[in-house]
Amino acid sequence: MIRRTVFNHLLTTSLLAFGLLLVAPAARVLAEDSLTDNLACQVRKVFDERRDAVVKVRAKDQLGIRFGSGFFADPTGTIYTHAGIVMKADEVTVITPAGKELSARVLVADDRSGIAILKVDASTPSIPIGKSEDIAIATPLVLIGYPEDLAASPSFGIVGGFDRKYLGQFFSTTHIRANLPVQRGQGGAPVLNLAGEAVGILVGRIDAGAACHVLPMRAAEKVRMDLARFGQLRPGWVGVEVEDIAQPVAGSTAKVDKLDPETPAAKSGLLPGDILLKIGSTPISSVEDVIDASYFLTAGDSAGIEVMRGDEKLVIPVRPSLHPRAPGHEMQATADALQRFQLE
Amino acid sequence: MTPEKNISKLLRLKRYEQPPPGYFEDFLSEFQSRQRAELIRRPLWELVWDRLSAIAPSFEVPRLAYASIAALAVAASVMIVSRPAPQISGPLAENRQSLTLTAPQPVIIGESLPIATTSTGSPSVHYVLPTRPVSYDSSHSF
Repeated sequence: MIRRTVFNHLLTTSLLAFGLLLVAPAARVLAEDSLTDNLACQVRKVFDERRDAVVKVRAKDQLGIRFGSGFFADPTGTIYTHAGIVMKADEVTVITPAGKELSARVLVADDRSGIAILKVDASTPSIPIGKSEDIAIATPLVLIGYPEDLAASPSFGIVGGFDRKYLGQFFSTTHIRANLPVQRGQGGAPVLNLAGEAVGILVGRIDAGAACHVLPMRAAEKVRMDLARFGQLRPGWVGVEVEDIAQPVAGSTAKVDKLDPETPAAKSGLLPGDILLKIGSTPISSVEDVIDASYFLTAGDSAGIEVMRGDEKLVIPVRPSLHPRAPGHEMQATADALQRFQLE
Repeated sequence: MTPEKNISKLLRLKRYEQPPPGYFEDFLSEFQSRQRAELIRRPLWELVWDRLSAIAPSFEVPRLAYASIAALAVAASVMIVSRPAPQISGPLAENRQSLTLTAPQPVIIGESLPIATTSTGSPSVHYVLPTRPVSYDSSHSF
């Protein structure tokens, strides 16, 4: 009797398991389809909601016509785009998705960040600015741009990493490496999160466009903020040369190596041998951390530099001066940039 | 002769009729062999089904289990059959249309080719997306 009861239980369990085995693949297929559909819906939603604020930028200079992409960052006609499009343009026109052509002024073309800010005299749709600091590895991203002479198109991908240099050259600040496909003509296009907020601007392609580098919006907004406050770019410079040391001190390997006597750093009291722990609000643990910290310095704005001197931790206020390689370079390209963008 | 008389005569004859010797001894084995022969001529699935049908009532499997499995199987079938085919719509469809309607045009890339005007005198066209983002700071100074 007991044996039969056990057998009955086993049989019932087996039948149920068989039933589940039958249903599980179908459920999995449906779940995958549902995930794909949801993702497609979200990308389409972002594209439909934001495409009106993405424009094609056409710049005419003595060497030809350059096309790229850009987007309205506010409702008063302020446009972010790629500096390489308008760096030396005689005439700039933006073309809306509806085909309307608007004449644009170049407010700034910054070779350091690789972006430019344009202005049209019109009320426009705009893309809200998101927090680029919140994105992380594998965050989904949507790019809207104009590939070559085609219509506005979405691309979808994820954050692949954060880079400070590429092919042996340092960026001005940490760039987002996005694993999303891009094409020529999309330079300056907005890169959005799935909430439809701009978190970056497309500034460079990798491996023939299989992936790309994106300037974080925080870095782009530094340019716009300088422009709004001073009417020109004000990249800060302290005048410190830093070297890497083998053994970290207080968690940092960035040591002050040299100071020119006339630099803001020397005047503030920084000394060779100080270990850098923080510049402004940016923690320093290695020499490369200095890149991000220095990008966000503004000439004339005081910043605290935290150092370890012997066993003592000090915060030294420094007032950066205008970067020596940015001599009044607003609306004017440096020789480096002209060469880089093949404008000379 | 009436039918009753015929039957009486037949019964009288049958009373003395005897089976051949050994008939009763072989009867059972012969019956079983004929039965086996009959069974073998049936398809296998019919045999298995008969066996299961014979065994199943002796097991007290809750009816709910059979009902659940049937429901799950039906649900799985419905889900698989009713799965929608992928469709291209909206902007992608527009792009596809534009691809078919727009004639291909030559594209000159600024970064990889020398910049110059074309032989017809019309300005050259460059679609911008550099391979190297820019920077003028080295990591060793700020």
